[in-house]
Parts: sequence; C-alpha cells; structure tokens
Amino acid sequence: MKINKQTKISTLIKENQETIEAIASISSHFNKLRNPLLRKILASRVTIEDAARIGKCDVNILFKKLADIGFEIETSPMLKEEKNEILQNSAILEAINSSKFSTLDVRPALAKGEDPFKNIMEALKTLKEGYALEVINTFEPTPLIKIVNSKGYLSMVETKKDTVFTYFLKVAEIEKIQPAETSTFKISNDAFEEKKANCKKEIHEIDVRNLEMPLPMLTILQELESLKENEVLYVHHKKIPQYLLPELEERKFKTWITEINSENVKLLIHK
Amino acid sequence: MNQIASQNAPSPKVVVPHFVFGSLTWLVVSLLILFNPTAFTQHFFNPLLLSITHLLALGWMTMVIFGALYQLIPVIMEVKLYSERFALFSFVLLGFGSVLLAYSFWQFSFHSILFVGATFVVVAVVFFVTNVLITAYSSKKKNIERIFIITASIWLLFTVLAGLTLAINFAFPFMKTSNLELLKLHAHAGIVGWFIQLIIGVSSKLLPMFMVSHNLKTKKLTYAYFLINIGLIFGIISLFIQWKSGVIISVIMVVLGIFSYLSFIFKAYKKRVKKRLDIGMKQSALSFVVLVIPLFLILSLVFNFELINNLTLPLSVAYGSTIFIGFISSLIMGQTYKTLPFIIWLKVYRGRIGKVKLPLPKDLFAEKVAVAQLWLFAIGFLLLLTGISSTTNCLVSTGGTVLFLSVALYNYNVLKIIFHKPKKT
Repeated sequence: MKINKQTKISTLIKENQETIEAIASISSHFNKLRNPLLRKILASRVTIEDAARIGKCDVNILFKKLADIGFEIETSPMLKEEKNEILQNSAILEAINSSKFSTLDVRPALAKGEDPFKNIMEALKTLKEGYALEVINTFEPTPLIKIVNSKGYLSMVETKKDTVFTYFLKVAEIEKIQPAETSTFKISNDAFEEKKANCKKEIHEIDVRNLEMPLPMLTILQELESLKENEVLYVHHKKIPQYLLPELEERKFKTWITEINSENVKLLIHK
Repeated sequence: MNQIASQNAPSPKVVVPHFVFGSLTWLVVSLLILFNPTAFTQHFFNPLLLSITHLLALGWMTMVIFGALYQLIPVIMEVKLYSERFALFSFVLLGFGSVLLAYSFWQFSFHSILFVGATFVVVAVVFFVTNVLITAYSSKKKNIERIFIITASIWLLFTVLAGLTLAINFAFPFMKTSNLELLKLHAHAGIVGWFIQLIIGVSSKLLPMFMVSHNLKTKKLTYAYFLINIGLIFGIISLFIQWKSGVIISVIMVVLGIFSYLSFIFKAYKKRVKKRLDIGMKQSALSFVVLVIPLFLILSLVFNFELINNLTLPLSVAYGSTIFIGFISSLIMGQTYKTLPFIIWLKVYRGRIGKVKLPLPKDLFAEKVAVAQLWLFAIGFLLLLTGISSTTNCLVSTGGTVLFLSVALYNYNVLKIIFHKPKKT
C-alpha cells in the first residue's frame, strides 16, 4: 500500500495490525496506540504527519518503521500550508495576560482511559467571547484542534517539558460572520517589505499600472494561471483592485496588499 | 495587519435596472422632442418643457447616475454599499415619481398627482442620500472624489425639496420671490450642485483611469470644489433676495470652478498613456467640448449685453438644452460604454477570467452601431441647438428625429450588453 504524510493512522492499522507495535516502539509517546480506546479516538483523526508532531519525532523515522513492515512511501509534493499562528497567538496571549481563561486538565481522564473530547467540547460551549480555555494534556491534541478550529475558535499550543497546554479562544461574533475563507490582508509598507524579503518562493514580478481596465485584472489572473507552486506573484498596481479580490479568493489565493501612496499599490499573491 | 473584505461590488440586479429604465426614458424623451418642437421655441416656463426636463433629469440622468454610483462608490471609497434594499426602494420610487411628475407637468395640473409624484421623488432621494452618507461614513478613504459625491448628494436633496416647495408655492402662493426666480434657483441647485458636481467627483476618478494618466495633482479639483460650492450658495441666496450683482459674482465663481476642473481633465488627457480614445471616450470628449457653450451662454445672459437682448429667451432654452442634452446626456451615453459592459462581463465570466480566452468588455456591444450613434447624436444636437436659437420649429423637430435615431441605437447597444450570453468555450 502506498502511503504519504496525509495518510490516516487508522488506515494503516486497518491495512496492517503490525502498525500499532511498529509505531509504539518508536517512542513512549505512542504508547497510547496500544490502548484500544484511545486508539479508537485518535487513530482515525491523526495523519502520519500529525503523529510525528505528537510523538515529537521526525516524520522520516515513522516512514522508515512503516517501510520495514511493508508500506510503500510516496514522497508527497504537497507543501506545508502556511499557518497564521502569529495572528492567532496575539489574541490568545491577550486573553491569558488579562487572566480571561479557565483551565481543564484532561490528564486524569486520559489516565483512566476515558475520552475527554465531550468534556472539552462542553467547556468550550460555555466559554464567553474573548475568553480562552486552557486544556492541559500530555500530547498535542491535533485532531481536537482541527475540529475546534473549524467551529471558529482560535488555538495555540505551548509545550512545557511533558505537559502540553492548548488554548482555545472564542472570538467575537463579527469575526465569525466574515467568510472563513477571507485571505486578503492589508499590511504596512514595512511588513510588506519584510514579507517579500523573507519569502522563500521565487518572486515573479509584473507591473500593470500602464494598462487600461480590465487588462490589469486579466493580466494578473492569466499570470496566476501559469504561476508555479514555488513562485509568488509580485504586482505593481495603481489601486487596490476591488474587482480582482473576489476572483483571487474564489481561486484560493492569499493576497498581501500594501499602499505606498494613492497611485502606488503593491500586491503579493500566492497559493 | 487588516483583513479586508474582498466582495464590495453590489449585485448587478441592483445596478442594471437603472440603466434599462434610464435609456428607455431617454428614448421616450427624444420622441417627445420630435413631436413637440414648440416646447423649445417659447418661454422656458411652459408645461411641455417642464415635463420633458423633469423626465430627462430624473428618469434618465439621475436614474443612470444612481445605478452607476452604486457600482462606483465601492470602487472610489473601498467599502461595500450600505444597503442594496435602499437602492431598490429608491429605484422604484424614482421611476414612478419621475413619470407622475412628467405627466402632471404635461397636463399643467398642480394637483394631487404632482404632489404624489414629487413626494415619491423626495423619498427616493432620501433613501439614496442616506445610503451614500452611511456608506461614505464607513469609508477610510478621504479623497476629494468622495467629498464631491457627498456634497452633490446633499445638493440633490436640496434640489428636490426646493422643487417640492416651488410646486406648493405655485398651487398655494406663500413666498414673495417670483416663481421664475425660484425656478432658476431650483434648476441651478440641480444642474451645478447635483449634476456637474457629481460628474466632477466621478469623472476625475474614472477618466484618468480609462485614459491611464498618472500622477495628477488634485489641487485644481480642490479649487473647483470651493469655487463651485461657495459660488452656488452665494448665487442661491442672491436669487432668493433678488440681488443681481450677487448673481453675477456667483456665476463667475462657478464658471471659474468648472474651468479649473476642465483644466484638470485636460491635463489628464495630455498625460494619458493610452493614446487612442475608444468610442465611449470619444463621445465623452465631445460632451466636454460642448460644455464650453453653456459656460459662455450663461456669462452673456447674466451680463445682459445689448445685442442679445431679443435673444435672451431662446438663448436661455439653448443654455439649458446644451447642459442637459449636449453635456450630461452625451457624457452618460459615452460612459455607459465604459462601465456597463464591464459590469455585465464580470457577472457573466467571473471565475473564468484569465483561465480561458474570453471576449473583452468592449466586445459586448456593436462598435459600428456606437460610432453611428455618436455621429447621429452630434448632428442631431447641432440641429436642435440651431433650431432652438433661431426659434425654428422644423429644425428642432429634425434635430429631435436624428437624436431619436441616435438614442434608438444607444438603446440597442445597452440591451445587447445586458443580454450578453457567454460564448461557449
């Protein structure tokens, strides 16, 4: 069977029962897999990539073990999604600093072999806007974070030795109404320059300031069609392109905009 | 870091009906001109001309401007329109109101229908102005264009309220000032305060964009803003208290303001990157050339030169017609070819732009028809103007006929654009 980073642990176990022992032997963090109940909770929600992070080991070690028991490894071409953690952290840190948070320690429940999922979700439901919930755990609860994020909460993970603190923040209603897909940001000139300088992708530059509408929009969209995975489009524009933005969002591009002056706007567009 | 809303454009369902109603009204008006030339060859305070003017100003010009503004305000102010529902209420009320108003003027009956129509128009304008002000308030863009649009909207409200007051005063006189002077006040609040000022605000953004002109200084627009508004307020007070020198000073101020704006547009034209003007821009250029005529006419009218004494009345009608038909209508027609195709193009092809070969917005209308329309318009308007100035009914009628043909071609193109079906690719 061919596997990659995104393959679920449960799929592996279904295919080959030896997976349990193979993974568990890597580190004590994976002992939970031996517990049938925890296995049921976690395995279907965790990918190989998540597992590597939870177990604090390199994903290649996991691949090596799995290859030993007969899995075929596919090198995945998928690039890791850029996370907006900085943005999320600041809001959560603010809540923590103003001690607007409550704590839920799920370690006793886990030790007893119970699934704390229900308790956490209930605690989240009663959370007030702007307040955070601190979940104390022994591993990073990746599947939980995914579910909770999809419900519109922000999250942040902090690890101190063997204890993992996961924070969930309930954000105000207004932000929830905004389409979850919004990925257009207006940033300062400096932040933009920094973003451009730190960009690991190849910069593909175009200037549409001398084109008549709708050619700027058309040109940008055409360029994006042929933009490679490792490229980012850097556009010199005369204004914030009001009609282009919805098209970019529809096509799942991220856009960073900065306004130098009223006739000079720069955009960085990438997948 | 700010997340910014990407979808600011209103639904085409809100914008497009304004263009349909407007261009059909314009067609009806051209028929009215053709069959009623006498409206233009007598004193301007006559039922037919009042009716035609109101249908033209509200049902065609204001109507299309409302629709275009709902599309342009989000572009100029970078925010979403406050309410599309308000826009629809305003559309329906303005549509009914302008027809009722035109009907009562035609009958010259200052009774209930006139007041119902006038009230409809006032409420429509209240919805519009509220919508514009709340939208502008939420915008962080503090550019000169925004200030022009806000001020123009307030002048529109003043104009329709003054119009309603005038109608009441006509039916139940309560003001000392003569109705003729009040009519001038009402007309100029509308022409200068609303139409010209709004055109300045919108065109100073759009025309440089269409011609691709960079780094224009907006100082001339600031001069224009103060000259026009101070001049207009001064003029309105002078008309109300019947102070002749005050009127003259105000006319000079407003004319200087308009010239300041024209020199901005001319600079944009000189600095343009896109050298060749397309058909929509050619018609727009024509309207700017025509605008110089009423500016000289009004100066000669207020100074009351001996040699034009017998010509005062026909020249007054010529003055109004040049502004309404030669300048504003012509500019709206030209700009329709620049804005409407884009709105429909975006609606029809969104999601596919850049992926496959698509027609461009300019391919949505028949260019040859637009060229014929422009020539017919220029000839028709020239005949009309000659007919009015020389009080010759048959010339006015001929001019009306040629204008009707032009507007019919314009309507053909508008409908062709609106009913554009995507090409199979």
